[in-house]
Amino acid sequence: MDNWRRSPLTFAFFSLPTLGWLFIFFLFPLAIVWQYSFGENTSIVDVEFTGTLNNYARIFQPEILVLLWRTLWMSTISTVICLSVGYLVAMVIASASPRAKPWLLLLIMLPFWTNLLIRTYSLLNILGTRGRLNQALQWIWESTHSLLQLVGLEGLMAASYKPLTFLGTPFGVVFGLVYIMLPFSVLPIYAALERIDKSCLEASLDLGAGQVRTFFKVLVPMTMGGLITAAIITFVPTLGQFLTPDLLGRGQVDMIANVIERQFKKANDWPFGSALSLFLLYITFILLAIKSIHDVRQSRRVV
Amino acid sequence: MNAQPDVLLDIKNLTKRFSKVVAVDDVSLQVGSGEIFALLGPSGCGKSTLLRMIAGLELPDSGDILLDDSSIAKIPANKRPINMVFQSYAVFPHMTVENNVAYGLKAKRVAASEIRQQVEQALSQVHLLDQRDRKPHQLSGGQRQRVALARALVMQPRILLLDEPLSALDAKLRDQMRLELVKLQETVGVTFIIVTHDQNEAMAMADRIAVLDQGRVRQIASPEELYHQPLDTFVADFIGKINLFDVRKVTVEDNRVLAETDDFGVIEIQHVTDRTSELLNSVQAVVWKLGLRPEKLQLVANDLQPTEDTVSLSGELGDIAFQGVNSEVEIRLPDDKSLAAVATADDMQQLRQLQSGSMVNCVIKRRDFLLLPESADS
Repeated sequence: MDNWRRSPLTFAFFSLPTLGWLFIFFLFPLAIVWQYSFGENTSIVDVEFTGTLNNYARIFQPEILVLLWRTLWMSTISTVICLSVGYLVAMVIASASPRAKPWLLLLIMLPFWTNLLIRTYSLLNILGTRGRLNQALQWIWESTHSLLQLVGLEGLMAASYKPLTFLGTPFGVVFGLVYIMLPFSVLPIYAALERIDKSCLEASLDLGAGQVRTFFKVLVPMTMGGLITAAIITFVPTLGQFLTPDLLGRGQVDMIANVIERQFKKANDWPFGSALSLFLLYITFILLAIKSIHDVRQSRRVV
Repeated sequence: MNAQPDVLLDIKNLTKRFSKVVAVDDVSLQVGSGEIFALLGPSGCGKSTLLRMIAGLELPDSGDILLDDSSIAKIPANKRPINMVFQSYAVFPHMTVENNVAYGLKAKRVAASEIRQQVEQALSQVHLLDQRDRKPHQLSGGQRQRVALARALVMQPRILLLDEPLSALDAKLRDQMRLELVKLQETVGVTFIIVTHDQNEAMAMADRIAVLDQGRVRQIASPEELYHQPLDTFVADFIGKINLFDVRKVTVEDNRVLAETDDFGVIEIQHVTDRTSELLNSVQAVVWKLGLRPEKLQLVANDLQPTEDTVSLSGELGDIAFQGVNSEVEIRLPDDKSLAAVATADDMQQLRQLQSGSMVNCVIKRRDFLLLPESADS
């Protein structure tokens, strides 16, 4: 693995395209945004770089803090749901027959082949007041109602079904976030499950532990690395989602990315938008730092 | 086979299929209390599946497993008083040595103080007391195996199952561990069932061995009996080396069993196994072979004449494989067959003066020949 130490020139040559790409399309624009975050609007189009910290200070006004808080808890809930559901899905795939595995994995990848916008619009169709979900619920409601009517207990339920509101509620947004992020959490967990020595699970049973104990004391700790990776690559992009809260939240469940988008468009306040973007970036960096500290500790124990 | 009074595990007509392959085919055997019992066979013979069924990790398709005369075939693995040392050891990588050993006791909800005491005792039994706070990746393969051993023994199982316990260790450690396992078994008195593909390992450790092939039991006997009275060519070939000679015809005259051969004329068979007499009395068509262990071929100086108790044989000297005390010598017969013989250090003194290809004579005692039915599918 440390071949590159022996031929640094070759290494430099082959890494040049990547480094160049990262520099031109990532670091350079990021530097511009960083510069903007210390600027002030002087007219509709002009921004003067004054080195002010005012933009960062504005993050801590109550309206923004409320949005940040909402972003955090909605992302956390989505991540927790993704991990729980993703773990079960990953377990099903990992324990499937070798012939079925590639097909199940393909099913997990399938949503990536469809545009995010289209997928989100299709959710509107499902979650709407007259959407599929409400139709299904209404059907269940009416079936139960007619069943109760047969035994004369229809008084237990209201006379007609009142459609539930999903769009424009945190539930609808979290539903959409989970739907979009789920594949990202399945794959790392699946990879971790494939790597472990299956006889450890049998050993646990053999030593008298039940399925539940084996799951929490052996399987989950042994796949902790995959779980942490899954948590990060689910949580971090969720923090920056703006399409899902925009469409499914109907502007009533904004997340921080919606505010950022508005600064660059409607509000035309690039400096504040830049400061907010970078603030989000800092949070991400802190999370990644925690992950790499964990990794270093793990590898130090291995050596 | 009648049940002896001290039968601990009684396996009756156990069969297990995986889709269309029969992994274990109508196996019956009994394991006595306190013995080391080996399941020996080539890979794919069903020995591991049999072990996993005893552990409860596989469910049999038919047949029964009795422990102390009560059926355990339907009891799940975590409720059986049987523990296993896995081939990969399956030590939990995220737990310290101590927590690994305590795992089963915690699952059993044993009191914490008792756990500490029992874990300590188990760890000292396998000489790992000073490694108790280490994680598995800080241990050597041999130490990991001891953790797996302690972890199983601390549960005080009725039977300890060991799946290929020595296969992952290097040669020197293997010998050491082999002795240690036998010693440990003597101290704790737990019945061991060992799965192995290595006949030396089985011969050195086990009180009794079941030789398996293609899911069926070929023979169950003590190591000595397996070696000296194998029931068929498969067992004879699998347990040690054997030279086989074609037999034209086997006849029984006045309770004497006579084998007619091209190589030695008529040989009277001294040790007739039950299986052999059974087959001789049946109408079944059997292909017979004469078997001879390499060490029964005595290399002699050229001029020795055979007596009436012996037959002789001569052939070209082939390859010699030096193996320390003894050497294995290849002898090429005129019909292109080659035999294995064992040369002692004294023999080697003489053989060294000969060149490869020169003629050597061998003397064989007539009573050393074994009459073996050729196993149907080997």
